[in-house]
Amino acid sequence: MTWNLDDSRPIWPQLKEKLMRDIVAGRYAPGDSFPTVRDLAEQARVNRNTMQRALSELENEGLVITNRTAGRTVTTDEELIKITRVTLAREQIKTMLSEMQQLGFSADEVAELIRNEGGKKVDRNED
Amino acid sequence: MTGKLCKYEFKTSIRQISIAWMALLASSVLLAVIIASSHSLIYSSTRAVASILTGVLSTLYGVILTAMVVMAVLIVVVRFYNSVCSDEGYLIHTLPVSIRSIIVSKGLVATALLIVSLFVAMISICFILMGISVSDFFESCGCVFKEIGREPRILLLIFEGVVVLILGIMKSVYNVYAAIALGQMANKHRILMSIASYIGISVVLTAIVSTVLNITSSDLIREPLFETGRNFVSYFGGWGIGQAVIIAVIIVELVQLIIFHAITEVALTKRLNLL
Amino acid sequence: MKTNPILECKNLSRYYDAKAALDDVNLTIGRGKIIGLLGPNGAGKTTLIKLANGLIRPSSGQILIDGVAPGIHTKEIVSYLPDKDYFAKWMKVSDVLNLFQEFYSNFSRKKADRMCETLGIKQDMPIKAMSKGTREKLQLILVMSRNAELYLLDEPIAGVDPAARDFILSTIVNNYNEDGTIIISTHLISDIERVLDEVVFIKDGRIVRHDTVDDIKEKECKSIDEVFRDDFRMAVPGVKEAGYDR
Repeated sequence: MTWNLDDSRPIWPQLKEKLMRDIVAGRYAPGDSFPTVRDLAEQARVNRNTMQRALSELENEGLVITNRTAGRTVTTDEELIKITRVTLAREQIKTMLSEMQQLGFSADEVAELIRNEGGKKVDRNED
Repeated sequence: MTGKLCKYEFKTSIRQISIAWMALLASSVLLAVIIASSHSLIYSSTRAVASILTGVLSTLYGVILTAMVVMAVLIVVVRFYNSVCSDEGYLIHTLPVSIRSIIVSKGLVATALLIVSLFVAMISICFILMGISVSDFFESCGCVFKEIGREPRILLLIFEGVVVLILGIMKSVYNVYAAIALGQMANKHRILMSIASYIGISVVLTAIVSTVLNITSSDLIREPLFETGRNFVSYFGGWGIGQAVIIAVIIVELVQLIIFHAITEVALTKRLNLL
Repeated sequence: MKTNPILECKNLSRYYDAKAALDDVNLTIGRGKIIGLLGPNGAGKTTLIKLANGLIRPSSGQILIDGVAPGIHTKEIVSYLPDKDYFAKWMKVSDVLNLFQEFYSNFSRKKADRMCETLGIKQDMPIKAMSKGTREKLQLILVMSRNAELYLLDEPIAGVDPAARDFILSTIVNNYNEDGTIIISTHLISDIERVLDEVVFIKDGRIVRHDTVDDIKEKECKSIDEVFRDDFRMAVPGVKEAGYDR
């Protein structure tokens, strides 16, 4: 698992996004126990407080639940996970679209390109 | 805490000097054996060999003795210097111990090592004397014991002599410490400053002594002082005045000891300057 | 967790002859954080750390650890990793561990033994025979095995190869007392910036910046390393300053 972090922006939102992706992509199944702050911070090589902040945000959004006895677990709310997946996708698309617009493409042209590209077999590299 | 520091200090200091002690004892025994056996030699050739060996071993003994003295002095100076002025200070001064414990532990161990060195030197000399003539040696010992038997107060004198010796050694050790403690307050040329402090302290001491002598020999003080002295002698006798002098010496040594320790402690507490 | 600041500097100055190594420094450091003390060589980082340890005394002003001036109490709660080699040459690893165990009540011998084992440092290894890198790792183990309130690490990763650097940072981050504060002084910023909560920039004996990492990134949209380079940029001789992009 690689954490591609950009040092010129605050780290905790990037950590939060990465963890959201992992949940949405199914790397942590609904109801699964979630690793501790310690373990995650060690993996990502970041400050524990920073990771804690990212996790608190995940909790606020309901993606992760803290159980006093069982520690942290992934939510079982499949609906929420679906919504989150769409939200993440939307953000990616927004970014991509604005970049494409800078290059001079319209949204329809982009959609055409995507359809063509989607037709080919994509080699899914892990993020 | 002081005890633990003493343990550490002892382990660090003992390694080199104990080698010198063994070497000294070993060479003195060798010398003694050679001297003893050369008494009974008849052939001129063996006598020649024996005298050469005696010469060589005597020189060796002298060299080792000098080395031991140098080492002992170095251990006192260098150990303290390293703790305050070099990398080892980063360990000692971050331990949760008081400056006083540090000073006392070093002072005690240094004094102990110096006294043992003195003792070892004496024993080595005894070995050599025994080599020269066992009978004379034990005869002299016997004489000493007889004298003590006749006048047991000699034991008291010996005891007091040992006390004065120990105090004197400790005072000298603390003298060096005080000089180093003052010297380290400087940012540059610290060794030079330590030497200068040492000289400075000697100058001050000499000044005090000569002032006291001047005062006591001045007309105002001299007569009453001698009068008191005469009364004292007639009351306590010669023995009494001897004791009084010894006690006075002990007090003077103690006072110097305390003053040197105080200088060291204040300099290191208020002005520690570990570079 | 105690709430008073673990370290306070009040108008703290330290002179070496005429030169000010620290000039009227005011600083407050809270608990439970990892702080980067960043600045070029000679900026005053080591001076500040030595003052906190009581190895030198202030010329004027005050420095307080847990509210008191450096002394026996502060030495109990401060764990210091100096930029120096301070072990007596006759010692073995076990001697060193015994020493720390004897003098520090908050030293965890078990933890230290475990870390030594992980690194392949045997208890009967003489210090004399160790490589510089191994000795540095041993010193780090000693420091991090203490359950201290303040850890002062002076240039822990300078002069160390990248693999060892990772190990050192990982050890630092994973082994300290969580209510404690770690102050890491270094000039190698990009390696450690993700591990820091706050940074203190020090230049010519003065504090020029003290912020949380997040605040700086939000405000300036740059990495701490870049912000540092900007703050400490030196004029390159022979090149016109205007328009020169590093």
